[in-house]
Amino acid sequence: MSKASPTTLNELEQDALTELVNLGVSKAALSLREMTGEQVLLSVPSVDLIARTRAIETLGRNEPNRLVAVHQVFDGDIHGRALLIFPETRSLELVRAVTSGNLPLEDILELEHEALAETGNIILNGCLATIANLLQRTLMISLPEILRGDSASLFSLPPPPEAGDFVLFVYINFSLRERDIQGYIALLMDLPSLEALKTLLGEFIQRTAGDPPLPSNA
Amino acid sequence: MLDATQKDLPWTLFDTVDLGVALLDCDRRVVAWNAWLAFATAISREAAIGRRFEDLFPAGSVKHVALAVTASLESGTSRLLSQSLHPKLLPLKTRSGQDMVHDATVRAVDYPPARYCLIQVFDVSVAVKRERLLRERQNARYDAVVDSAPDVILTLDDEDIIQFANPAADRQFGYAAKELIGRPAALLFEDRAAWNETRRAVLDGDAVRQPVEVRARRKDGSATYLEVSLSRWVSQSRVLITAILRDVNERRVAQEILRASESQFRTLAQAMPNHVWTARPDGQLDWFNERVYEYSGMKPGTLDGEGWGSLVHPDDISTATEHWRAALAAGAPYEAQFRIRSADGAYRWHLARAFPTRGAQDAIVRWVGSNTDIEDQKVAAQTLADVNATLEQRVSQRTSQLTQAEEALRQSQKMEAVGQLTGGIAHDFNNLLQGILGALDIIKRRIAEGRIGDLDRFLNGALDSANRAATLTHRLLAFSRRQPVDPRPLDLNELIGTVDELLRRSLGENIDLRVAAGEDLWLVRCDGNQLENALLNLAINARDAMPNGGTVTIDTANTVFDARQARRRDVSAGEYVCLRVSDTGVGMPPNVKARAFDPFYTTKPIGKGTGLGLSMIYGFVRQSDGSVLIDSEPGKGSSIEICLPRYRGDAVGAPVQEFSGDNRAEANEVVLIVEDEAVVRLLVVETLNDLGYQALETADSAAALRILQSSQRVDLLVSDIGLPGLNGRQLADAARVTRPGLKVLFVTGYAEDAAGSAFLEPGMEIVIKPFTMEALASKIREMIEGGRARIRPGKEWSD
Repeated sequence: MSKASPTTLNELEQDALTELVNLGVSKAALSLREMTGEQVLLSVPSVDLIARTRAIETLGRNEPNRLVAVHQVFDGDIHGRALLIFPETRSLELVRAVTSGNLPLEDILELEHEALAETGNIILNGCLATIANLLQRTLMISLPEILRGDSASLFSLPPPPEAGDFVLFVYINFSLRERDIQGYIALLMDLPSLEALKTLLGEFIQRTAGDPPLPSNA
Repeated sequence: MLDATQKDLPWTLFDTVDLGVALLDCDRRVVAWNAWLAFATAISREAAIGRRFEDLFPAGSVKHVALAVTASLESGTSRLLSQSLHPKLLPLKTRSGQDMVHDATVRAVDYPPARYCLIQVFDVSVAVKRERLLRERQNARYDAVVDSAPDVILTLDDEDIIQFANPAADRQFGYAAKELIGRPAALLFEDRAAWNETRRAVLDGDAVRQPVEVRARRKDGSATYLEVSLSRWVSQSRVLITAILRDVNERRVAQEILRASESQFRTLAQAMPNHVWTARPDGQLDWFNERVYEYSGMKPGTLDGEGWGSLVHPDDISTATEHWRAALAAGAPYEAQFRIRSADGAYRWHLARAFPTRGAQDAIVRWVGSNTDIEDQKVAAQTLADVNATLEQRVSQRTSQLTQAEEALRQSQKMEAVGQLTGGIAHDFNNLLQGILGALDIIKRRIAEGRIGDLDRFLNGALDSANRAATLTHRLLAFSRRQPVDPRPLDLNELIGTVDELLRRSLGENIDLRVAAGEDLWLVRCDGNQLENALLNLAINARDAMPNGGTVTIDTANTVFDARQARRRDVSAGEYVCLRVSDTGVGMPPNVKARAFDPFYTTKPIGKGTGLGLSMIYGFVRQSDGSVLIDSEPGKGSSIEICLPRYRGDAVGAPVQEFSGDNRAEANEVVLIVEDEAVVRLLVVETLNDLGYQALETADSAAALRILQSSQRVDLLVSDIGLPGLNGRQLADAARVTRPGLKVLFVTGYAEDAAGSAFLEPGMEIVIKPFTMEALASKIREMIEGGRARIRPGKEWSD
């Protein structure tokens, strides 16, 4: 059964999750377009489920500089943290992209916090709510917070994580007003939540395909 | 949990909380609307309940909230709507009626089976207003500086992305701020690596960096030079860099011009063969071209300041320094000559010159000078001076030699003429002697026979012959006399008269001499002797041109030359006296005529002439501002015309007229005769005694001096010049020691004595042998009476 390897997703689950995330991000892009009145493209080249320590390592290698993150907690059948992460330097670009016209740097700096929070909220909510909706579950999502730091600090928020935490690591390309910004969505979950997610994904696959999922050991 | 009495408490709380709360059902209709929201929207709960949320407000004014509501109800998403991105989310007023600055959240509330949407609104007016105030206060100052700054001010993040650009950036680069913002600043610069290196140095090291100059590209592609100052700062943990870019194009152009000018100067200075140097306004030398170091063998740097002084010759240093100080003080060009030591230790003369260059306010900023080697000039000048001195000496030497040679030549010319005359004269002389000797012979015989009745005829004949002989010798001697060139006023006719006899003798019997003297002839001024010589030469030439006899015509006339005539003769127009000597001889062919005045040109056989005659005449006449013309054709004779300028003045030194008055002594006047020739002494004494003078006689000067030193009355001393012991002149000098006013008449047979008339002092005169007794008597009378007049001054007044 699928329980054989709870720390990984099988190919079908992986595909289903990637599709869900893509739908969620598309929904977010639509929201951003409604907000800014500009064409917004969000795409998800890949989705990885990796261990928290590996996520820290990978992110640390890809982005050696300081990072800025929009942080929200979700709670429901699955619970965990959602992070939208950018290199700190690119975050201003993101703010510029979503704010209209040419605001002075001082305004951008001032707006950064709220604008980032609101924009991040749209993207993260788009993903989480879309996933929850499609999985026919309800998720309670907290208001967004802005965090700064390196990958280790972002993935080590209190309360201390339990051993074996997993990170659903989503690369995200963000294109707006001729600006291309690469960032990451990270969903931190503990093992029970991951198992719940797998179960939900299985149900989703069954519903969508109309067939019971094939046992992995069949 | 709440009990029954508390069941309305949530609603009380609902209306008490300090935020706006509205709950919408799945059809977006308001199901809950708290008091806060009723106040802020001025829409009562009663008016709101049951109506769709967006219908409560003017159409489209709450679009963002409506969208969030839709998303929330459809997807269960929650939204944060912040005032920073949505300035007027909802039309809300504070209690005081001000626009309320607010944030909002929109959330799905799942209350199965239904889903609701919760809208919460937060008043953030106070915080936002405070922030805005703070920022405006800061920005006012900041903008005043940054917006009006002439320099480009960019704010960059730590990845070189431009976050801010002031208006000067647009002016400098041509890019609007919105074109720059979001792009790497490095794109602006030509050397991006250097730019990034500088930028990183600021990010990692010193927070402030010294300005560096960079080349940037404007939007139109043109290059611009900027001086970049970078400083690092931190805002909300974000590292930023402020870059100030100053336009230095003008400065650079000025520097380029200066550099080019400086380089031009250096090149020129190095290319010069001269020493070139510069000095500071205080006079300290600070630069020398290579020539200086090559010449002096000194090392660069050793000559700066006062160092150059060590090269100047110790004897010249004070002058050089003095001139230099004076030039510095006056700001006037410097010029001095001094010797500079070369590498081999030798000093060479140099001419140093320097000019000040002036900067702002005309102040001297530098001196530029050069030293030119003038050693060769100096040496040449010295040599020239030496040569000149020698030359002058040699010229004067040669001139004196030439003068002597000319003098000798003139004399030899005369001698030549005399020699040519001798033949004819000897013949004449023999005739005259024959007459005298014959007459004396007859007289002697008749006296011996006692036949003395008819002697006068023979005596007169002898005297006549002797007189003619005397005249002839006198003229000959006078002619051959050595006399210096002595121009004096002359009457040409008179001069022709005096040489007439000589001419006739020299021309010979078969040549007829005709003299046509012009009337009232003007005077001329020239040397009489030379003119006589010329006349004789011309006469002899004429004679030689007429070997078979003919006629020589001498004519004189006053003439006035007009410009044309004067030009033909190469003289000034004006009044002239012309003397023409014409012959009827063979004439001259043109080639001979053309060369007639050339020295040593002669047509005569060897030994017959020097060829100098005409050239001497030409030289003498030209010296006297006159002209000589030859008119001659073969077979038609020759005519030589000499023209001399008219002299406006009186004749002086005219020949002494013969004295024919009463020469007898008056009051026993005493005449002392000193003559070693007994016959002459006898004749003179006899004559004087006959005339009533008391004549004292001595044969030598010693006896004469004894008489003169005694108290014996002596009215006149008549003395031969050539005497044994003291000569006549020395005797006169000795006598005048005791008798200062003594009158002296010298008698001499030597023409040379007469030529030295300059040796005569006042009261001295001279007569030349042979003389007639009558001529002597009149001379003695004249002198004694002249002296008497002088020693009796009162007489003229009393007359």
